[in-house]
Amino acid sequence: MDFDFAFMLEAFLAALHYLPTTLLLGFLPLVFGSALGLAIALIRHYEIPILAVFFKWFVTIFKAVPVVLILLVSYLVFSDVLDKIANSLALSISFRDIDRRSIAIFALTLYATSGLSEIFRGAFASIPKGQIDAAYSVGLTTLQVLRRVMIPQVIPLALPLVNNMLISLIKASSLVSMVSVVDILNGAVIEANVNYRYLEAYVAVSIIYWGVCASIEAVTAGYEKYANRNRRRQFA
Amino acid sequence: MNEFFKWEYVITLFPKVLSALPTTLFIVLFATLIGSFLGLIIAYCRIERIPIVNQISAVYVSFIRGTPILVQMFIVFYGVPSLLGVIGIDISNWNKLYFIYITYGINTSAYFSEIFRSAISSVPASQYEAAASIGLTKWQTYRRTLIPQAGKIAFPNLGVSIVNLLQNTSLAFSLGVLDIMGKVQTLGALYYRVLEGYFIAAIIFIVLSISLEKLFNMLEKRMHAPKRSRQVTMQPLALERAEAAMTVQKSIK
Amino acid sequence: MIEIKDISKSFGKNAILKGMNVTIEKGEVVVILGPSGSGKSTFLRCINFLERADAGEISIGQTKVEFKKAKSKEILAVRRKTAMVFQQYDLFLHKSAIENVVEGLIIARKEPKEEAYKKGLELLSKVGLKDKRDAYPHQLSGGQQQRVGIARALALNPEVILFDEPTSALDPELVGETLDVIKHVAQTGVTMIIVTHEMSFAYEIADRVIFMEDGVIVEQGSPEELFEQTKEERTKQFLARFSR
Repeated sequence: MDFDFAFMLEAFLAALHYLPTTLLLGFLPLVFGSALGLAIALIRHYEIPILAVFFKWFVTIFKAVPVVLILLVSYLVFSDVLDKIANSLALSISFRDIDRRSIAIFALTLYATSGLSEIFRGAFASIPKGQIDAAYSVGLTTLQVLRRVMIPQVIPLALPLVNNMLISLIKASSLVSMVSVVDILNGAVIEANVNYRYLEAYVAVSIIYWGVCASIEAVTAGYEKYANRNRRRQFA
Repeated sequence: MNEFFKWEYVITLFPKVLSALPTTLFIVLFATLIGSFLGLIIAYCRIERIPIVNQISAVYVSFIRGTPILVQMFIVFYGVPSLLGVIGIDISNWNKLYFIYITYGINTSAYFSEIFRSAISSVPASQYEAAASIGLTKWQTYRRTLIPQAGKIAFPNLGVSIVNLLQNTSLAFSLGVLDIMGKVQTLGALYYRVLEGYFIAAIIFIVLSISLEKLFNMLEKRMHAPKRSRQVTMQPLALERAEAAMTVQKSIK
Repeated sequence: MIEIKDISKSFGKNAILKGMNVTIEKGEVVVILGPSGSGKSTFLRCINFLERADAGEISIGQTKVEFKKAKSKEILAVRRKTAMVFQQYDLFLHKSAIENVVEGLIIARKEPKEEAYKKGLELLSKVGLKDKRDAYPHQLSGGQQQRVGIARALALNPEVILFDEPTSALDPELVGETLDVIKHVAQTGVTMIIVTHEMSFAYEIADRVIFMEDGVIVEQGSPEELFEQTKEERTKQFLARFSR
C-alpha cells in the first residue's frame, strides 16, 4: 500500500497553521449561542407571550435543518442581500470585503443557538419546583430567584452538554470550506492539490480534529469527576 | 438570476428534488443496519472487556466521535480502495454510494455502540446474576435478559442518533452522490436557481426529522405501555404473590 | 393579626377552596387538620402566593391585598411578612445550611452580611444545628434539613410561619426532633399555621384546631373542644381513624 508518511506530516503542519481559524469557528458560535440560547430558554421557560411561540418554531426548524444548509443559505443571502442593502444605504461595504469567516460564524451560531437553548431549557425544567417555591417564600423577587437559585443550579447541570456542543461545532466547522473559508481541513486539502495525495491529507487533518475533540472530552470527563467528588448538590 | 427567490421555481423543482428522497432514506436505512450490527459487537467487546479488542474498540469509537463525518467520508473514499488494492481487489468502478454506506455505517456504529454500552451497563447487575442463577448461558442472558431491558433504555437515544444521521446524510453530495442535497446542487447548476433548491431541501429535512421524532416518541410510548397479554398468561401463583404485594403496599400507605 | 376572607381557589373544574374565612390573632398557633385533598396545603400556598387564589382577600398587619388583583409589589410585601416550611424541606441544594438561612435576609431584606450571618448562626443553634453550619443539604438527614428549613423561616422574623406538613416526608424516628423544635419555637410566641397529621402534637401545641374538608371549615375550636367534645359527625369519623 502506498502511503506517504512524509507528505502526511507536511499536510499536518500545513493544516495546523489554520488551527486558530477552526478553534475560532468553534468557540465564538459557542459563546454567542450560549448567550442567545439562554435568553431563548428563559423566554420559553417563563412562557412570554408571542416570543415563546416564535422561538419554539425557531428552535424546531433549526434543529431539523442540516448545518450545511444553514451555512449555504447564509452565504447566499449574505452575498446577495448585503450588497443591495449597502447600495441602497450608500454604505461603502460590499460582500467582497467582509471576512467569509463571519458568515460561517453567523451560520454556526444559528446552529448552536437552537441546540444550546434546548440544553438550558432542559436544565431549567430539571430544577425541583420546591426550590423555586422556597425562594419565593423567603421573599425573593423573580429576578433574584433566577439569579440566585436557578442559574447557579442550571450551569453545572448544563456544562457537560455545552462541552458536547463545542465538539459538535468543531466538527461542523469542517464544512466551512464550502463557503471558501480556509480552516484546517481546507488547509490540508490545498496542500494535497499539488500531488493528489488526498488520503494522507485527510488522515493528517483527522488527527488534528481527533486531538482537539478528545481534549475537550477529557476536560468534560475531568469536570464530571470533580463535580461528582465534590457533590454539593443532590437532585433527588 | 435577477430575482432572488421565486415561488414558481419551488413548484417546478420540488418533484425533481423529491425523486432523490429514496437515496437519502436508503443511506439512513443501511447506516442504521450496519451501525446496529457493528455497534452491538463493539458494545459487547467493551462490556466484557475482551483484551486488545476492547482497547481497539475504545480508540475506534473515540476517533469516529472526534472527527467530522466529512473527513471520514474522504478517508473511506481514498483509503478503502488502496487498502483493498493491497490484497488485489479492484473496486475502482464501485458505485460511490457504497462508500457512503460504509462511511455512515461506521460512523453510526460508534455512536450506537456507546448508547448500547451505557444502556446495557445500566441494567442492574442483579439481573445478570439472576439469569446466571437459573442456568442461562452468557448468550442467553444477553438475548433474554439484558438486551430486552437495555433496549427500552437505549431506544430514545437511538432515535436522536438516527435523526442526526438523517441530517448528516446531507453531506453525501460532497462525493457526488445524488441524494437530496446532491440533486439540489445539480439542479442548481442546471437552472441557476440554488436558493429555491435549498428551500425545498430544508422543507424535506424538517418534515423528515419531525416525523422521525414523532415516530420514535410513539414507539417509545407503546413500548412502555402495560402489556395486557402478559397479565392474562400470568401463573396463578404469581398472581397470588402480586396480590399479596399489593395489599402490603396499601397497608403501608 | 391576620385575616383571610372568602378565599377560594379552583384548579380547572376542581374547586379546592370554597370561600373560607380565617382570622388568626398575634401569637396564636393554629393547626389545620383534614383528609388529604381537603385543600389544607393549597390554603397555605395561597397565603404565600405560591398559588394565586381566585377570590378573597388577606390582611397581614397594615398590608391588605385582594388575592386576584395583587400586583407583584403587593405579593412581595405579603411574602416578606410570611415564611413557609415545606413538606419536602426544599432547601437550596447549592447552598450550605447557613447560606440557606441567610439568603432571605441578605437578598430579600438587604441586611448587612455580618449581621445576617450572626443571626443565622443564632438560629441554627436554636434548632440544634450549630455544628452543621457549613454542611450542604445532601449531607444532612431529613430531620436536620427540616430544622434548617425552620431556621430559614424564623430568620425572616415573619408575622406568621406556615408549616406545610413539616414531618410527613420524614422517617418516623426523625419526626420527634423536628416536632420538638416546632414546639420550642411556638413557646417563643411566633404566630403559626400548621398543617399536620400528627394528632398528639396538634393537641399539645395548638391554641386552636381547624378541621376542614372539601375546601370549607367543618369545625374549629380549642384542642379540648375539637378532640374531646367533637360536635360534627365528619370530624368524629376523621378523628376515629387516628385514635387506634
